[in-house]
Amino acid sequence: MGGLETGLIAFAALLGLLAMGVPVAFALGVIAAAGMYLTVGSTFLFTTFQTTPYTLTSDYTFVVVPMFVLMGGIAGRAGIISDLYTAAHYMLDRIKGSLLMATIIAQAGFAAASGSTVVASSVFTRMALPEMLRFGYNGGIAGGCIAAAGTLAGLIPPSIAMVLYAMLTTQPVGELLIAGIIPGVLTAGAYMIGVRVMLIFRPEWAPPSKMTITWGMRGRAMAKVWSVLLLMTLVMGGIYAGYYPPSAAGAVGAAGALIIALSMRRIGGSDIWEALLEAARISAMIFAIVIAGLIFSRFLLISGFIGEVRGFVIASDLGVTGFLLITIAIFLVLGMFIDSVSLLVIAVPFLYPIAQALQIDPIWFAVIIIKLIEIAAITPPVGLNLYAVLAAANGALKPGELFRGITPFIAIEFVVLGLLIAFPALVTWLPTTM
Amino acid sequence: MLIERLASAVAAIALAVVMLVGVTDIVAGEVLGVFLAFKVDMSGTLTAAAIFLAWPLVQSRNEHINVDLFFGIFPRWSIIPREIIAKLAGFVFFALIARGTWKVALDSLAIREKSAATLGYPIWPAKLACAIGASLVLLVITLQIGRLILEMWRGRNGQI
Repeated sequence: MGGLETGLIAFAALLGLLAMGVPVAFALGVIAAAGMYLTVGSTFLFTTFQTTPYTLTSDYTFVVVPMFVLMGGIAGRAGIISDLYTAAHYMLDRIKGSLLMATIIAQAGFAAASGSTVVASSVFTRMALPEMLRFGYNGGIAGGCIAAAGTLAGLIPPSIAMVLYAMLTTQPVGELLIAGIIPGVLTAGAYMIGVRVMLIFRPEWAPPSKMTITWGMRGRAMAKVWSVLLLMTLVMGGIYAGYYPPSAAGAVGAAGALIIALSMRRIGGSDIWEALLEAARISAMIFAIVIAGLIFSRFLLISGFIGEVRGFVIASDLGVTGFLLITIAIFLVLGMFIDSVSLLVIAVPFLYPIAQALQIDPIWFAVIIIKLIEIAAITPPVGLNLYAVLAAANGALKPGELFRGITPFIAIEFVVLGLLIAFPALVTWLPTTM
Repeated sequence: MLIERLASAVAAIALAVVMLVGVTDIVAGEVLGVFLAFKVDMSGTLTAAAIFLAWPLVQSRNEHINVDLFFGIFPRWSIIPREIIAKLAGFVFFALIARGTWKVALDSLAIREKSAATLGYPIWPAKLACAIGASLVLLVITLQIGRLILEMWRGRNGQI
């Protein structure tokens, strides 16, 4: 049996196990193990399982994962997000659709303190959705805006998705994180312009605010935003200026969030303990999938699947454009059924070698992949962020309503994706200045 | 189970130490010009231990990410058999990891492995913790499968 057939059977078996409800890490691991055993025998299988898990988890570069999760957990518990949202709301009060705009800005700010898109979506649903519904905003658009802006955490550092991509491709974590800044800010800007345009045609989606907000209130709210700015400077500034590597930036960010939270007297011992436990659990889940994904990619390599697919793509003269269109199609289709992290782990191992063969810039390709992952996270019916919003909305939103509301934001995402493809310098310029 | 809570408590403490070591190294380095020589080894080994020791709790809470979109297309009677298949897949996955990690840990323990780069930082305790963590997951999965078989025996109808 050739590599292509072996790989296709493995993917079919993988999708079968996933459909049955087998956790992604287990499905990837078991199929890779069976495939390795049948292809090259037990010695290679046992050696791979002996070296990969410990080597990966003890790699200093990837210490950044639990540290970024911890930083987000502490920042969330300290109510830093709520300060940001209030400040953005008060400052933008006179603009039409101010609560939608405030949600986008605050989520972009929160993205700089937390790398999890799902956490951002669920936290903002609890905080911003009731407010928007109270002011008569369209529920679908409100929920769609929260889910879409939640994806900013995938691009704006500290992005866990970027670190996962680095784990799978051995690209430098620091450059990847910095490369996400301009696309992240561009996406936030595009959302705001998109919301403004939407409200020109459908003003009833966001009635004018009836609150009276004084400049004193604005000043007091803005005075509380220093914590996020400080965290942003600690993490992004430290990496960009080369003061410390991303792993140390993670530790500094987590400690910084802890010191800020303690100085504001907003968390106690039990909150810190919960944040630590949560960081350990979430990191364990992420590492299980990445370990299984790496072993699966090794199986695809030794089975000859990757070589044959790469040869096929090069021989068929698809070129970069054809390859990108296929990549977009793969992510759109799989993204409808598989969550973002799993999709990244399943797809990158066989797409990345082809991108290398086509001499595509690896950093640019990373951002395109993360963008596609973001689109997948808000694409019905599985979009993870949509479910995070629905779960946190606690019945205030219906799935159909949210699925309709997210549609304009998916369109905006494609516009941004088009810009990033048309102007690669938007991604590649900033890392070159490091 | 108490043992998985204990393991995750150790994992949480390990992460707290990683954070402290990371920030102390930066502050001491920038202010005093003294960097912690063991930072890289300590952070790496403790993170590995934290991940492995948190797995039992993740498993006992069934928190590993799965795709639940297609559950509706399966007949109701298939719920427990599918749960058992999922657990068996997990058992195979973690058994292979545990087998490999025990080999790594015992080899390390035999020579009381220390870091070559930094004077005397012991690596073997973290490797041993990893092996224990992976084995605890197997224990948790075995108990889960046992419970599922009992429930199947009693004719439970539930959801994954």
